[in-house]
Amino acid sequence: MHNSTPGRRTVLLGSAVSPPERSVLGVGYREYLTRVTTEALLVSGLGLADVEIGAISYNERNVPEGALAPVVCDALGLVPRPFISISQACAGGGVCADIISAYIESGRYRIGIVLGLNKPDNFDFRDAMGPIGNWTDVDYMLGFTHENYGYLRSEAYKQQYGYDDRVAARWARQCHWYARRNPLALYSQGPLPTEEELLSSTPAGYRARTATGRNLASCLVLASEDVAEELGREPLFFTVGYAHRPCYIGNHYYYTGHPLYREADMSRQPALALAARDAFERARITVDDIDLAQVHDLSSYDGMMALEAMGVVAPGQGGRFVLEGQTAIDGACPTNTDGGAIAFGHSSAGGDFASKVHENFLQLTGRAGERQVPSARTAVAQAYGTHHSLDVVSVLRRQDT
Amino acid sequence: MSQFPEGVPRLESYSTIRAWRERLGRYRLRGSKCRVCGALWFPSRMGMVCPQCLQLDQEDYECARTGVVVVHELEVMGYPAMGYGELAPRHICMIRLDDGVHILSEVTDAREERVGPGTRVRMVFRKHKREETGNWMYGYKFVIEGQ
Amino acid sequence: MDTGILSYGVYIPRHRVAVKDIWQVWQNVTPDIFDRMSLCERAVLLPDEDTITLAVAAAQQALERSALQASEVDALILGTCTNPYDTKASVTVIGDALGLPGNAISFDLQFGTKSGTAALLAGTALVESGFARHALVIAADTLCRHTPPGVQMEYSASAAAVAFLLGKANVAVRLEGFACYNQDLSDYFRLAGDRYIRLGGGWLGYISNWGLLECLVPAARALFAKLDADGNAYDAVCLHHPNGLAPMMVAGQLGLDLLCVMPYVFTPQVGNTGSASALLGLAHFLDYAEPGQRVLVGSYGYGAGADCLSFATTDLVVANQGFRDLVSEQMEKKTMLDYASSLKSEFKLMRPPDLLTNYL
Repeated sequence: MHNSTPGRRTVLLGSAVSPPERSVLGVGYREYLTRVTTEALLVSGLGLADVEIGAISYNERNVPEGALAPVVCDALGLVPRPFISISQACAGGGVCADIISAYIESGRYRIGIVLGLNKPDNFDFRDAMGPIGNWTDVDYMLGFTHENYGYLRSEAYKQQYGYDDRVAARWARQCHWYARRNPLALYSQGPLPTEEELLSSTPAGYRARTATGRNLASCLVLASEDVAEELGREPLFFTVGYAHRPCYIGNHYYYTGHPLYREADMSRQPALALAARDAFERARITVDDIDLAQVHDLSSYDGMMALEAMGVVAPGQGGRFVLEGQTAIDGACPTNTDGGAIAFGHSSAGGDFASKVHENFLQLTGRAGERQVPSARTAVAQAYGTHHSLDVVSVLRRQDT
Repeated sequence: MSQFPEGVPRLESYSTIRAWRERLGRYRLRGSKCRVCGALWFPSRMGMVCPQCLQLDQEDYECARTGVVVVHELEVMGYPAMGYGELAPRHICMIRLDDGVHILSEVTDAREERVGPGTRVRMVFRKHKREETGNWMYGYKFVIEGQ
Repeated sequence: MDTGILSYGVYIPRHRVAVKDIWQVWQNVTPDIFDRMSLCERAVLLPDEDTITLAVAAAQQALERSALQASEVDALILGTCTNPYDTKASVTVIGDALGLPGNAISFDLQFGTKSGTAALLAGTALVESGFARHALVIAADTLCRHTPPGVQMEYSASAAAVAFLLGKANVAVRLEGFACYNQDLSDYFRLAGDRYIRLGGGWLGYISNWGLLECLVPAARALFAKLDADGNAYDAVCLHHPNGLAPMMVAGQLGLDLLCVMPYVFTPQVGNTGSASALLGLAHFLDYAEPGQRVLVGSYGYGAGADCLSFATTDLVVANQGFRDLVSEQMEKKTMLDYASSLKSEFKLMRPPDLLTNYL
């Protein structure tokens, strides 16, 4: 199935994410990726022989193999086909998807897969992750990780707009509500945490308001729109935009390299705004078309900052939006309907991007069960890498009517 | 290491050469200044491009050694960065130096003091975690000014 | 001699432990000894402090208090018996941290707890000979980290640093003369690779001052003979003080006025600061000195030897005053640590050697 027509749009044919498991120690990453790939192809109505190109997002310091693409290409039996590996932290999946889309839209290939891997048991997890995307000489080597960046960013947001942890607790509770209706979520079962538990100022309370890590492998199957036509499937059009921000967190203040960044501090996400602008423009949507959103909430405040940067709400209004219940299933913008990083699980390069796209796929194909957003047509998914040094926004939409 | 003489292999170690190359940034807050547009940068962009004017003409610049905390975290998450466990909990701060440069650092010697936005701080020279060769590593931290 | 002190700087660690807290755990002396030896609190190093960081802090202050640029310093000497490095130099870390030129004459120097005065004499020689226009000499020790738990020296072993900028022009304090006395005497030592300082004689009583009396007294007598002076010629006498009693025993043998000695004994506040001990006294004296005063400094180092130095203040001594962070202020500013935290902080609790995870 070679040589599609240039100018054809990219569609998402199918996707799969691995079931929720805190650890998959008995399985190597090659097998882990093979499982989700075959599942996603099955959902798409395709076989491995149909795959023309692949890309994988991973964290370079999670596997000893310095170059992952040849290994995964081989494991999937795809040799000698082209394969790309991208190590760009939690949002790397978005970059992979953009590359595959560009190939498809250029007409060079028609069908490609985007894999994501988060299985950090080859190296000590926290230490391996600590320097990712940082300017390590002056942060990681001096004892600071992007987790510190994240905490400070939340503090900056609270400070800037006068919020306290009640908004975070409300956000987290909403995420848990969705997760209880998502069998793939890490917290798919058990009673909803009380606001009191989520508000606690203890380390346990802090952890409850922030992301929970999980292992995850993911696969998205992207194709040219004529493939969907041949297969007799309704096309789901897929677009990605992304932008960067300086690696060193000090340079998040009044960075003079771009007009949008000049007045920004840690509480504003200008790269995310640029990524959203790009994705919305190319998908030919406006923010008003958005029926639901998946955002990257490593802390609850990150989720609010994301809604603000994408333009769903005005700067500083994210917290109020949450308190008004607008992120709930009957709200103005149901958000993190899979449970988000807090209750679905945070899986970095493995699925912080792809699992959100997967959720949007389920929502737009009416397969989201009890958490189904009625008549959803346009869904966005956002992810950031480490500390917004990379921001990715994707749009998935059904055919215009 | 144990009494047995067999070496324990390490897959990844940062090289001491990197620590040497970057030492003046750690020891003296050495950043850089764009000779064309005057923008100040920390970490140093020596040999790199100035994002403000896109010119490649940086000179060494030593940042101000005093500043003010703009965002503060008392790190109580229970998993301090490797090699920093003895000092927990640490005051981790975004600091605006008096020349406008922003820097992430730790306020040390403040076990009983209040640290938060607005606290005036000054740079001090302290020991950090060891290099992975086992060598000592030194660099900047901050203390409350006047302390 | 034309050479003298242009400016000086001091650093005393902020954290302290009370000797009573240590005693509660060990009870290995009768507690009345603390009164007799003037021991009350001593400094504790945080994990991010060592001889090098103390030295940098003191030297930075000395530079800030002078009119000199770092580029005008031609010699840098670190005097310490608790060097974080064997084999490698520590002084290079200090030189880079201070921004000194790479072509400054630089070396670490060790002679027990008189490494500081030895560095001062070496720096003086470099300036006097014209090899260096200005020399920065640092006396720094961290005896506390190198003293084993459960021995009596733990009550006094402490840490501090004092730095002096030396030159020929515009000196605030002129070195009038000096005398040394050295002999092979193994009172305290570490063999290569030893974690802790060992004792040759004893921690308490006369024997603990054995080397001190055997060296410091003859050194002082030699200096008096050289200068045709005696103890009464001095406004202040700053003696090495491993405990409060030892300098009094020296003073007694030399017939010194105890009132000139006692103000410069800091064992109740910070214990035994090693190479910084006697020079901390000199710095404290200079914080308030007047022109035309004379001060005697007598250091003692394990192994063993003593340096006695006679200084006279000039009219410029007052130009070095009115700064912040005087010795007395640094003594006062403190945060108390409990004994368990101080043991952890000084790496005296056994821990696995491999740091494989963040969980230590």
